[in-house]
Amino acid sequence: MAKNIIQLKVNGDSYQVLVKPNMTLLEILREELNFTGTKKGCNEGECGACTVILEGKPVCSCLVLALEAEGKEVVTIEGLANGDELHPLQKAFIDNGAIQCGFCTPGMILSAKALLDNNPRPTDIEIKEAIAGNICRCGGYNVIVNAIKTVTKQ
Amino acid sequence: MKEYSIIGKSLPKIDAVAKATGKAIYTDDLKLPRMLTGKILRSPNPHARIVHMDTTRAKKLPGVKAIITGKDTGTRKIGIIEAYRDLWDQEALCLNKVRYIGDEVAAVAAIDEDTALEALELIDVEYEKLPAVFDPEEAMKPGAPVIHEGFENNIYIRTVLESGDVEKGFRDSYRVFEDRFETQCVVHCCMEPHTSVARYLDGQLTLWTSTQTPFAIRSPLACVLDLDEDKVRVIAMVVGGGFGGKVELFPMDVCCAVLSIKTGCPVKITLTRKEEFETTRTRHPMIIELKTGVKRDGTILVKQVRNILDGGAYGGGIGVGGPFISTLFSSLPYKLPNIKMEALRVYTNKSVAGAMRGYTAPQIHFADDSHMDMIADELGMDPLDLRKKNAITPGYKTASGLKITSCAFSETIDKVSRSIGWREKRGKLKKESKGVAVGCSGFISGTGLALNNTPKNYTSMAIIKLHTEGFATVYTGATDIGQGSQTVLSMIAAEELGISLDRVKMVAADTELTPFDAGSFGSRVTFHAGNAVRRAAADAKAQLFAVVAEKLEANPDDLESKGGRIYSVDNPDIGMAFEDAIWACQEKNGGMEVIGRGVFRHDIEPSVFTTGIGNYSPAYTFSTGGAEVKVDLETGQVEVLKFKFAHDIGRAINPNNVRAQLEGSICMGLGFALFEQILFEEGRMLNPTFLDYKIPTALDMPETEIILVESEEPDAPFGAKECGEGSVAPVGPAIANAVCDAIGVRIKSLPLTPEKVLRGLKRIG
Repeated sequence: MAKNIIQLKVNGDSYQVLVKPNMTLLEILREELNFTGTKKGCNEGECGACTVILEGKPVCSCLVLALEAEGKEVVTIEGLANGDELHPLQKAFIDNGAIQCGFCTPGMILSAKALLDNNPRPTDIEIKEAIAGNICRCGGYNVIVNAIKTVTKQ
Repeated sequence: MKEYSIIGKSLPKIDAVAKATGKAIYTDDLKLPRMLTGKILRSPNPHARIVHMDTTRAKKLPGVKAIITGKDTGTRKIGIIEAYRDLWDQEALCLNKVRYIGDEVAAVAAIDEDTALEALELIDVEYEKLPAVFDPEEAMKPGAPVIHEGFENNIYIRTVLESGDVEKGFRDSYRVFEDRFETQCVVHCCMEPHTSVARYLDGQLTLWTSTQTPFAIRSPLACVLDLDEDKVRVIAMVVGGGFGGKVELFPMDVCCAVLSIKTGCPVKITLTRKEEFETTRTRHPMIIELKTGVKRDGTILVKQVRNILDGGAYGGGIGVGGPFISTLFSSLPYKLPNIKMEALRVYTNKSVAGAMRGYTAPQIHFADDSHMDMIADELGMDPLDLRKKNAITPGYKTASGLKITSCAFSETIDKVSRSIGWREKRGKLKKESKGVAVGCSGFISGTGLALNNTPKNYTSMAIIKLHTEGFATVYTGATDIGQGSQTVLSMIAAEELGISLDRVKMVAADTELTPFDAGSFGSRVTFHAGNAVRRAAADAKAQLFAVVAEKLEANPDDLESKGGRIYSVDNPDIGMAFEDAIWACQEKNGGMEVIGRGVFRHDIEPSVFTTGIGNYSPAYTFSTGGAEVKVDLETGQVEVLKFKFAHDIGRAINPNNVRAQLEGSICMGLGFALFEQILFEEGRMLNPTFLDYKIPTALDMPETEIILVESEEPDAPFGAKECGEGSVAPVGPAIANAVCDAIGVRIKSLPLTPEKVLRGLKRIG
């Protein structure tokens, strides 16, 4: 399969990567660029573990072809903290005990971030809807919603 | 209750920052130089003989580095419990016969995933199809297809126990109630798929893997590879959920190891989501037959139980324990003076069943606690009164030999019934087709079984090394699978040593570096590993106290360590800094490091393994769940509006963590009760995706309340008992009973689908 070179901006940095046409954004992030905080839970767009923010919108990176992301801006979980200073959502998840096995956490935090970026004061149902595509099998949804709410109040 | 500096505080988990920033390293995140990708070829038939296999075409594909079949993995079977090695029954790669759709037949290592997948398509396998059987009751009939030679009627293992006078019990009963319940097939669905990375180097095999039990899988892995155990090292990485589904050694682990040995390169195998569904483990679907005799006042005199566990194609892993543990849960949480129990685990040509969060307790208690409401209804009693009349109390010994120590069961019933508004709501919301009800359960804290054979059956060891800079390193074999064990164990060490949590480091779950621990299953880590860690800390502290006492001219018994300082209780001004004490201790002992050691063992009574009667666990926990539901009479849809949960925790080491575990139990119990169900057609899973297999999302969670009932457990570390496993069990019966309260329809099988609700409504007119 012929490969193409594409340009990507991930967490503010520009990268050139060689991609096969069938490669997904998830594969590029994990395998080529080593942003392994983006998790592969199902690879079919149903669990939300691979959620990243693409041009301001949360997407399942396993459903986006790498070629489609050409020239676009991607934010992964690694791009949220500012040095040692955690993003308020990261802090809220930690302080409220909203992290169990942690596998859904990056996607969950990014879905929440995308929500709050567009709607800083969401209702409970809006929060639940925003994270409804992120499965947490440890089942801590109510704790997660509470954690997100602490950030909306600020 | 005594107040502590660290225990009882909702401190952030020690691994939370790594997880929140995406820096925690799970097995699939590992990359090693020259690493190859492994893939597995699986059977498309539920039951067939392998007539011929040809890998020639696949081997010729450029980029393929090795292909292995049953000839490479050999005839030794894999399993998990060493004492039951005779019952290990699975070949890592099938040699002559496949027994379910998904059974492993060959594996490939190649330079990338695309090449490995292409190679699988080039392997030719010729099968001769055999008659298959999918229903456990059919499988037990004479003339049914034989799945494993030597197992008559496909019965893999059978447990029978009897205690008291059952016949007299029934004779003396005022009424006898008989019911049959059924539960469905559900799957763990850990968000992290099973992954292993194997590296064979200089005669040593290292396996990094997403396991709950690194020590337990090392032994069968070494055995099947024909390597000495000292040549095999297993390291559990950060694990993205286990729920019992990562307790066993899987064929993929063996394939990964053999491929690495063959190629001389590291090999990674990560299962796809479809493989997760089809080829890891499921919760045993069960048929539960109950016969209960009661006095006129509701006192239970006798109980007869028959549990049939649909085991799927294999059982040599944790499946061995299924029947016994089901009888154990059948004997909780009510006083049953006379019992007769039989449990059978039966082979069928389906995906393999194993332990899943509560290991048979969610099935058993769904049946038992639905049955209790039905009995109360027939006797005209308040279901709460019936439960409390029969509730196990502290110090009780069950007819099955379980020795109950602390027990706050009745308190959990009281607190939940108050919180759910029993008096105002029970039976009074029918007009709105709403109902309230409770479900109860009893559980172990935690299993006395070590999986491995160990001297005197010890289940946990811990080592604590003190550093002259004033911090401690805890070495434990216990595995954090998301339940928070590393945080809990660190808190226990910090409290006992009298230092802050950030002065405790953790090295865990590595068979080379850490002492033995049986692993994370059976709700045992807080109790067993917690005790071992506490004892190791106490041992290290005693070494410091001996030296400090000499320096301060005090009695070691009068010393205390708190806030990073060791001082005299009578005169707190006399003391020294924790790090100075370590320095002094080393100075005194010729520079030798201060090392504390601790061990925990529980005497399982040997009769457990012969008669099924005897004490199994050092302590037991009890829970009550209360549900308020609304039923849509048009669609049959059940909505859970509120769920209240009270748990007999002993003491919560970290209350936030306990709450998260219990919230999670409600969530998983809700999916089990309402909509999770694997559908099979001729042994093929019809819905092995998250699109078609519904598990709860944020939108499905009701309003919840978690009530922690503390009842100090004398033998537990700081009084703490388990949480988060058996706590799934009360959810199903609470919801089923609440549906019955709302619309008068009793559903005796899970899940409570709209179809069953509508059929029930039609039946009662």
